[in-house]
Amino acid sequence: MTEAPEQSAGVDVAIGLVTAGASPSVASVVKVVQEGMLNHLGGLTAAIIHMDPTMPDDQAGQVESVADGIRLMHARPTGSMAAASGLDGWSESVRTVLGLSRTLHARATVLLNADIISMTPEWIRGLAEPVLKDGCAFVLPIYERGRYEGTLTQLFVAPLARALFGHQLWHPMADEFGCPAETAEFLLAQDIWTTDLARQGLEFWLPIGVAGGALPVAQSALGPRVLTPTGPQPPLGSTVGRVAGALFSIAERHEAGWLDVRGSEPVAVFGVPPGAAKRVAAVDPQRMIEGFRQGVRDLLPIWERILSPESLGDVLVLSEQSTGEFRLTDSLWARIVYDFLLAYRARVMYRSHIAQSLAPLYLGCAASLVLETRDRPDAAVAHAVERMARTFEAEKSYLVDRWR
Amino acid sequence: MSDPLWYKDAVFYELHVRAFQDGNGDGIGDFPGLTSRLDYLKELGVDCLWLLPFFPSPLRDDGYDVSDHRSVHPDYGTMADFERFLESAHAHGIRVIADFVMNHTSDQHPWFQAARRAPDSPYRGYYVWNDTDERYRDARIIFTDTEVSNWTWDPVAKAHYWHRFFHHQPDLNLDNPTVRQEVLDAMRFWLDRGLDGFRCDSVPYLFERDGTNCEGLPETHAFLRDVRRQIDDHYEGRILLAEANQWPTEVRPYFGDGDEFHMAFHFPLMPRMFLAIRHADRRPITDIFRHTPDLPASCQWGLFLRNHDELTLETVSEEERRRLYHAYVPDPRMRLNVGIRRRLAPLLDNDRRKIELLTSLLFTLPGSPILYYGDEIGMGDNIYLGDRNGVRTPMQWAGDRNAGFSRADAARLYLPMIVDPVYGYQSINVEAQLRTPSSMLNWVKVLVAARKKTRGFGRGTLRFLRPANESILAHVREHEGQTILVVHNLSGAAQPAELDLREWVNHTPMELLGESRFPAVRERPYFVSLAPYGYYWFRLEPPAPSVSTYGIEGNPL
Repeated sequence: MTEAPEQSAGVDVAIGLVTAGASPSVASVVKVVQEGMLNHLGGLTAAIIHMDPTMPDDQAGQVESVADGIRLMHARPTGSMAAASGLDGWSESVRTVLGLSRTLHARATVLLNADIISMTPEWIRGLAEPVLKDGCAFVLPIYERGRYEGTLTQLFVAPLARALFGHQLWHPMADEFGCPAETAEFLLAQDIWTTDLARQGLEFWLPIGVAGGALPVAQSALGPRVLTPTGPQPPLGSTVGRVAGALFSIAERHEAGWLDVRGSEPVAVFGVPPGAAKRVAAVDPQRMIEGFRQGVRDLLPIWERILSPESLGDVLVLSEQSTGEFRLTDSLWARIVYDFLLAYRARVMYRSHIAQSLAPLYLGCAASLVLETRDRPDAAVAHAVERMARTFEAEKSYLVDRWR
Repeated sequence: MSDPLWYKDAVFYELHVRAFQDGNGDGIGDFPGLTSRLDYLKELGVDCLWLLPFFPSPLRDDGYDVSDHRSVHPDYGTMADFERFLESAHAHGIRVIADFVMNHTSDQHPWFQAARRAPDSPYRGYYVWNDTDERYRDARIIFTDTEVSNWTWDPVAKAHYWHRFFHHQPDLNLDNPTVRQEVLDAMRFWLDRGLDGFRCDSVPYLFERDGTNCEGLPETHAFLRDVRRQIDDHYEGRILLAEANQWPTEVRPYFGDGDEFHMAFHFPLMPRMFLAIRHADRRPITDIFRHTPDLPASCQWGLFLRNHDELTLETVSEEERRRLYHAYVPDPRMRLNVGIRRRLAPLLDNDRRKIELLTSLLFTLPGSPILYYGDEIGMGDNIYLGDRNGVRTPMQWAGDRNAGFSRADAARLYLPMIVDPVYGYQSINVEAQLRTPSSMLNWVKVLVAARKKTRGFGRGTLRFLRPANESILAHVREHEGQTILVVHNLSGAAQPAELDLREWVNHTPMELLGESRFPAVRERPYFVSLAPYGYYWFRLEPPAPSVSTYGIEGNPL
């Protein structure tokens, strides 16, 4: 059944399902949600808020046809970017879900991506239960990953976020999340929603924004996150540029929240964090190194304005090394990232150029991880990732000294 | 140092120990001095040094008149100095080959002295004697400026002796098996000490036969094959480089089936590069490669612009020779024998653009480039010195006394420094150029480094493109899937060029010296414009696959 939000009675859990146009998996995700509520949160009332900026008619029909015994609302984003799709549309969808959840007086809000085909009913429990039973203010997912999946997260996002804000998060991105009404209220009250940061990297900001409000964040082990194939992936440079730009903007926006932070603290985990999945990405470190060297050739004039002379010198030396010798050290990578962050803050050039030009250096870092661990067990990858995070923490003074 | 074909990728550097650095203050360069300059050579990017003769000699032909094949000339140090030098060179990653003269000796060699004094001496048979000067009349005279015959009467021996070069350099009689063994033993003497090979002097003239021109005879090749086999059997990674100033088809037999010389100089190319730039016309270069045969896979041409000899014009036509003399010899003193005794920079009017262009050709045409010491900084010459000494003056290291070459009094130097206002050591020296980022020395370093990054220059096939503009020389080198396109403007005016690159549609030319990406190749002719004497080295990069190529793009987050 479908109903307008303003006609709704209150619910315990509001579940936002976000699509962006045709989504072959949305109907099955609705079923998973139903099973999750039934099996794990029995006795609680729930409503599915299906968000889509475009909302194709046939898709609404698909969702309705399987939404048996659960309240269903269709909605379009209501903000200034309501008609936008993609990332812009996603942030507006999140905002709208949080707003409707408030309207529904939901005790907990769970946001899900309806394009995930690997979702199980346990995801509902994993994201909602810590909120409802344990008082967590924000629950982030921990996904099961194949070896070398999510390397950008493991080598860049997580170490940087951890070093800056001091929270040991496996996946500091709220692609999916759970939160209570108080957090929803807190988030809605922030002035983030109309910013470029919201459009480009809301998922990175959400956990930091919450933590910045002194609200307790937790993590919940879910499972593999497999999305419906939706066409070619964006170029790696674009992805790195978007992610780096978002994180750098967050650092700039929240400098008071990290300048005095030293070290890091574990963050509560619900469930058992999964080991590496058996999937192994067919990585090509030689190609990555070629990408790195290509960057040295093409981007040197840009890097000369971004990197410290010492870092630049190390990069140039590295570009001459053979594949067998090639190692971009953790320390160099940390300093590179901090140099980029400082250059971004100083606006030494157009900011998107700064952020995107990090991509070849990231390739060098990723190649080094692969070369170091490809012949070793999965634990070696985890060890290398943890070592990277610690290095970011250890090198943080390099950033702070230059930032102040 | 394990690749047996290392010489195909190597950049060679020719120097005379005497001219490079004086280590003991006697005014003459020596092995300790040379050892002290190995850092410079390594920094330059040199892979292999070619040392001019450093053996005991009366020095009437700058050491090519050897009087003892198994020792070091005392002016240059001791055997221990040599061994220390060689060890240090190897530690710097630099190989060393040395001149070896197997055709003749000095007339002061103990063998010749014994031979002339005693007809019954076993050494008599070490040389070629005759009662008259009538034999082998079809053999040409090489040093036409100084010699009138290949025979010289020896009043002590009371016989004529055979010499293809100066009269004080009697030819060895390699028909004598004892002499052949002596030559082999002398080569092994140096190889046992670690020398990486030999530049073999004057190899066409080793044997004589009536009714022939006494050049490149079958007996010569049989002996050279024997030398090669014996070296290969006992040593690894050593090379033989042939000096045979002949037409490429005539040099080709010296490679045998890959079982004679590893390398040989491409003599005719050198004057034609000067001709091409003089007339802004690529045909002298493309024509000579039409007459250049393919080599066995393990063999390589040695390319050079200038060396310790005159710019020899023996392998150009009379018409071409006249044009070259007209262009490059404004003063008759610059001529010597059939050639021009000048260094690179003065030959090219000290025009940096021309020097760069010819050096670029040297580095990109098929073969291994051989730099002559001092040319990397644009050293000048002194045409008032006799013979070829004008291009053999001391290396100019600094603006200090004697250019930093020696602490001896200037009058003691083996040859005077260049002191003229243009090329004098106060203006042209290593120290100044090291401190000048745009200097010729630093530019040569860039060129060496770029060449060494790209194996196709040393090993690639050659194809000339045929743009309508004949001032443009464009050639393609291909090796193991890598394609290099090189474009030169031989003219002193800016030139356009339309290149047919349809074979490489969608490839992206990446300029190698500046690492700049050029527009991708399309079906239509590829247009480039070149500055006067401009040049481009491109790597043609195939289009990148559209699918994921790193393996981490699929799920980066």
